[in-house]
Amino acid sequence: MRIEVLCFATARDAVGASRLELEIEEGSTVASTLAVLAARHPGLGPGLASLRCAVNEEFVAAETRLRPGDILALIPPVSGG
Amino acid sequence: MVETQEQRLQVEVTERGIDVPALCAWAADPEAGAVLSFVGTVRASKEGRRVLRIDYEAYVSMAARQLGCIGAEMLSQWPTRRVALLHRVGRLAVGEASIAIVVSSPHRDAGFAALRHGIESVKRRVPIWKKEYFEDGAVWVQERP
Repeated sequence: MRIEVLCFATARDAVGASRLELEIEEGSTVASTLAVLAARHPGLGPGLASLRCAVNEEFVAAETRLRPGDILALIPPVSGG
Repeated sequence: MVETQEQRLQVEVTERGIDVPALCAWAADPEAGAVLSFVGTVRASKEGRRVLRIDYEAYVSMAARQLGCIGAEMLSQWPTRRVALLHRVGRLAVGEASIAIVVSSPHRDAGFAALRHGIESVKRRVPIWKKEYFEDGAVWVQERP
C-alpha cells in the first residue's frame, strides 16, 4: 500500500527530501515503517529514538497500523514557542 | 450576547510580523479585568555565541490544529474570555517576536494559569522547529522536554 511521508527539520536533512511516497506492506505499523526508512536513510538512525510520529496530523504510538493513503509525518524534537 | 468559541479564539501560523497591541485590543472584553500576554522573542546570544538569525519551520496544518487545541483548553479549563495564539515562521532577526499568546479573563489568576499552560503546551506539542544561525554555523535546536 502507498503512504505519504513528510520529513521535517533534522529528519528532512537525513532523508534529503521534505516529502516522499512510500510503498509498504499491508498491515505495516509506524514502527516497521520507520525501520524501513532508517534502512534506506541511515542518517535517520541517531535521532530515531527521539523521533515522534504523526499520522494524518495526530500524534500516534509506534504500534499504530497504517492504512493506504495515510500521511505519516516524522517529527523530531520540537522547538517552537 | 453569547459568543461562539470561534469568536473567542484566534490562532494562526503566519509569516507576517505579529501585531501584539492589536491582539491585546482584540482580547479585551467588558467582562475581563485582566488581559495577559506572552511574547517570545529571538535573543541576541546563546551560551556566549552571537545569534545572527533564526529560521522557524512548521508542519503548518498540524501546527495550526495543535494551536487550536491548546487555545480551546485555555478557554475551557479556566474562566477566560478570549485567547489568541500566533506563531511566526520563516526567517526572524534578533529581537523579533516568534510567538504571541494573549488571554483575557475576569480575574488575573485564571489568566496567568491559562497563559502558562499555553506557552508550556506550545513548547511540547506544536510541530515547529527553529534553526539558529551563528557566525561559525547553524544548528537545529534540540529542546529538553
